[in-house]
Amino acid sequence: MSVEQDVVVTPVQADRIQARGPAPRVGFGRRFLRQRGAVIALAILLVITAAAVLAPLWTFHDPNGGVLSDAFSGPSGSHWFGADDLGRDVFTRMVYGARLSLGAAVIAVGIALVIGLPFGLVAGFAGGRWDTVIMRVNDALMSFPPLILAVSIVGFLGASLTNAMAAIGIVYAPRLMRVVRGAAMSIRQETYVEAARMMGVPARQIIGRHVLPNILSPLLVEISLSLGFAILAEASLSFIGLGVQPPSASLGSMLGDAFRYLRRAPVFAIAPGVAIMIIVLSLNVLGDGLRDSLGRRARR
Amino acid sequence: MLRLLARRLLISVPILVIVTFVVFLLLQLAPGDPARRAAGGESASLQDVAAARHRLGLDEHWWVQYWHFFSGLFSGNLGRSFFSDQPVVSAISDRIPVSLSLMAGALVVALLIAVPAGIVAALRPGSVADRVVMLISAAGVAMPSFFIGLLLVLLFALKLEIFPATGYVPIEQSATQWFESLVLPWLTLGFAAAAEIARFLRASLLDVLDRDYIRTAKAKGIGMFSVVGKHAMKNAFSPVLTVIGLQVRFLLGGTVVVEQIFDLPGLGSLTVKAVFDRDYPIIQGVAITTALIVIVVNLMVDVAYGYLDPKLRAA
Repeated sequence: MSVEQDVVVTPVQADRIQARGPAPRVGFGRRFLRQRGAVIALAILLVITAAAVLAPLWTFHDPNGGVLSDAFSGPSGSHWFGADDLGRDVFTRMVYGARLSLGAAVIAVGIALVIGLPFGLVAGFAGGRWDTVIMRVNDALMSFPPLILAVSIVGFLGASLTNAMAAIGIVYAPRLMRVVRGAAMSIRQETYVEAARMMGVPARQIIGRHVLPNILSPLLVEISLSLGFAILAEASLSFIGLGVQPPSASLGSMLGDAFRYLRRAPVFAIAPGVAIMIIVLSLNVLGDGLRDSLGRRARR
Repeated sequence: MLRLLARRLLISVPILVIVTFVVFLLLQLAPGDPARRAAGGESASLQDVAAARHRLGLDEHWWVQYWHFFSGLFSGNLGRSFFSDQPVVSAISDRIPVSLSLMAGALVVALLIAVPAGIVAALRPGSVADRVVMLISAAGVAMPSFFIGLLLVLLFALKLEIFPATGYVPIEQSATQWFESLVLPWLTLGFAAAAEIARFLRASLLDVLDRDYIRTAKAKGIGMFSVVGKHAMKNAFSPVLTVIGLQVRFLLGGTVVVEQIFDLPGLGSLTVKAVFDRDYPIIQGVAITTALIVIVVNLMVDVAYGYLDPKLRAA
């Protein structure tokens, strides 16, 4: 609240505020930039993503091939975090691992979106019986503990990174669906949507022109948070051995492998663990920051 | 109160039906022929496969199969393990006490940490204590539970050598060793859950502490302790209860990883083993059992909600 008092409202802005009410996107950039934590989180994520995507350009070691004589050599100039049991550079493996983890999370959330968005729109916009049926299925899917459902799906499909991504996508689709449904429901009641409907604008057009752009902000927040969940879920599956298969590694499978050498080389476990934490924490902080600067309930 | 319970029970029925259907459908995802898998894999003769197919009812129409599956649930028949031929129900009931004691202990740990932390943070928002609590809980939410477990093993088992790193001792055998074998798993799962509960409790306490009746209570000269304890907590706890309901899903999922780390013979390690053995009936059994636990716990949470907030009873 005190922050609001510091802001100087120019006459032009005041007019705009009066004329349009608290429209969600007015001054989004500025509101976002004011959230120092979220800006830092975004910067960290951008750096990590760039480092992961461009990994072949700037890392010197082969992530999957090692020099056996280097095995278990401690941190040094050439091996920043040491070399693992097969003499592979742990830092390089981590960079490539982050690449796999991030890619897997993006695809998993993409799958969740492809499932959740249409069903959420139908449930929220059509309402009635469709809504009831979709919501019951949704409730049922959400009754499963996420990780158990994911493990079960992978259990039937077979262990691989692709199947793990599909499983995580299916598990998190109901969450995204709920968010889309809630947003679509509240927009359906807006006067302009009502007016469009009365004028006989077809539902598909209303959804495309009015509903979709308006649910973008809650969706963006949820996507950011879901990416964090997806990274944790992929890490758990790979930790158990149900995700990425050797010799490739994700951050989660590196932690799983490191467990065997915990006494000898704890850094093998700590480094990827901290990396996961930083990525997920950044995604969560970014999600919270987006929520605070996008939503109508911007200020609490 | 009874009406609330009845209505909630009624809503649970279709959910339960869909849950069983989803689990039934899982079998259709499996590549290859489940009957061959049940008959012993590639080496099985065609006759054995056909016999297995008939025994499992896989030669029936899918809706007949589903009916057998669904009605089997009510007679406590979830099929038999492909691997050991043990009935799924007995495999699960052998393992479930371990997982339940793991989860119950973790929830106690979580509440013991989260409630004081949440209250301290909410009483002085923006203070150093608040910031520390929020920072630790933000990190806790972002950490995979197995990483927390790994750090605990590193510290308490390998460096300080206070608790065993892995293994499980049944309580019948030795209560103290049972307790020692579960301390690290409890902390592992409990920390992760505590982080989320603390964040929620802080937010909902902040909301409640802002209300008029709290101001009135303070103005009457009631001590801070009983303002928070008697007035604020009862109202702030209802949303937290929902989170605890949600945490059960998280805790159940967490058993998969935590039991793996600490080598505990619970539901989670049963699932992982079944997944590697492609023991489909066991996977299905665990999925249904855990969903059932979640549904029952949420039912209880809803009823407790009604007790804490009389407004909801009438609605």
